[in-house]
Order: sequence, then C-alpha cells, then structure tokens
Amino acid sequence: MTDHDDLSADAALREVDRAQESVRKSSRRGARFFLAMWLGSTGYWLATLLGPETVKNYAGLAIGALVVAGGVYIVRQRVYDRLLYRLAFSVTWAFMGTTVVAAVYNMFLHPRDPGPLWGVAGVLVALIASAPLLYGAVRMFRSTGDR
Amino acid sequence: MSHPRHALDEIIHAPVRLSIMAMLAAAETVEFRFLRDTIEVSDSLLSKHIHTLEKAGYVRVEKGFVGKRPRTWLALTDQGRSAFQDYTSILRQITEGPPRP
Repeated sequence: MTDHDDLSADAALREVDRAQESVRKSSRRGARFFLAMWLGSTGYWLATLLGPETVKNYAGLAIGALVVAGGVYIVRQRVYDRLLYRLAFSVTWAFMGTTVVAAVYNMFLHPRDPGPLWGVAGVLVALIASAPLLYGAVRMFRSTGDR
Repeated sequence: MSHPRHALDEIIHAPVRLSIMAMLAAAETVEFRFLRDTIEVSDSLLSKHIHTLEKAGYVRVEKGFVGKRPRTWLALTDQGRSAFQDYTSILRQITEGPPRP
C-alpha cells in the first residue's frame, strides 16, 4: 500500500459494492427478460390451445415478435452475469424441450373444440411449456436479491 | 510488516483497476464500453489499466464483432478471481479486525 495510501480499506470496499451493484442491475434486467418471455410464452400457448382462430393468428405474430426482441436483447447485452451465463444454456434447452412437447400435444392430441377437461389440460400444457422461463426468472431475481 | 495492509495487492489497489476487477468479479464477461461508461473514464485510460491487469494475468481480453461492429469483451482469469478474493478478504480484515479463533 505504497502508491495508493489515499484509497482507504473502507473506501475500497465501498467502491467494490458500487461497481458490483452496476452488474447486479444488469442481472435484474436479465431476470425481467426471462419473466417477459415467460408471460409471452404462456399467453401464446393459452391462445393457441384455447383461443378462437383470430386470436391464434395474432398469438403467432406476437410470439414471433417476442422471440426477435429476445434475440436483439441478447445480442445487445453488454454484461453477462455469471449466473445468467450459466442459466441461459440450461433454460434455453429445457424451454426448447417443453416447447416441442407442447407442439406435439397441440398437433396430435388436442381436439379442435376442447371440452372443460381438455381446457384444463391445455392450461397445464401452457404452464409446463413456459416453466423453464419462470424458473430462470425466479433464480435470477433470488440471486440479485441475495447478493 | 505484520499489518494486513502490507499484503494488499498493489496491482488491484488502485481506484480504476479496483473498479474493473470488482465489476469483472461479479460478471462472466463485461463489454469494454460498459466498463468505460460505468467507471467514467476515457477509452485510453481504461485501456492502459486493462493492459496492466492483462500483463499481471488477471484479465482476459477477447475481441469480436456484433454484426459489423467491433466489440471488446473482458473477463477475469482464474488467477484474477483468486487474487480479487484474497484482496477483498484482506480489506475486510483491515476494517473488521482479524478473524477471532
């Protein structure tokens, strides 16, 4: 501690907190991104499985726009939080898996005019299809709250 | 030479380099412009300090493109992460006193 005696230990610790808070802010944006994708995905599957024909068409457009916005967000990101970096791969793969399951269900099992029981099944499928995104959002929010 | 302040890493214990290390320690990778805007320093000063940290083996610099735009990404090496952990634990020893047995 010869060259920088002016930087006290307290001041150094405060600067560590301040600098790391800026990274945490970025992580919270990542959590909100997962949350927005979860809402969009759940809405899309509910509309696709249970909504009228016109709503289904709009839902397709809306989810397309959301995916494009998600891609732009990821490319423009300037900080990759350690947890977000690790979660991004597992959440994306899990989400692709649940989306395939929901698509298969929609194509082969779900009837054109679903009764109340099929309605419940549709809601369950919509929730399962989007669950990895909610998991990602909760993990990120918890992590930024803990640190 | 028993006071913990003598054990502080001189490379990290400088205002700009400390900010760089703290941000990189909390992140996987950080883009050069984000560091510059958050720490509020010029490109040249930031580059100079990054070069010092890179030479010490604490920081890894990766250059790439997003579309046609060049981007510089920075990350801590394992050595840098461990040096930063040691540094912050010494700071805590100074502020809180030595750990009780």
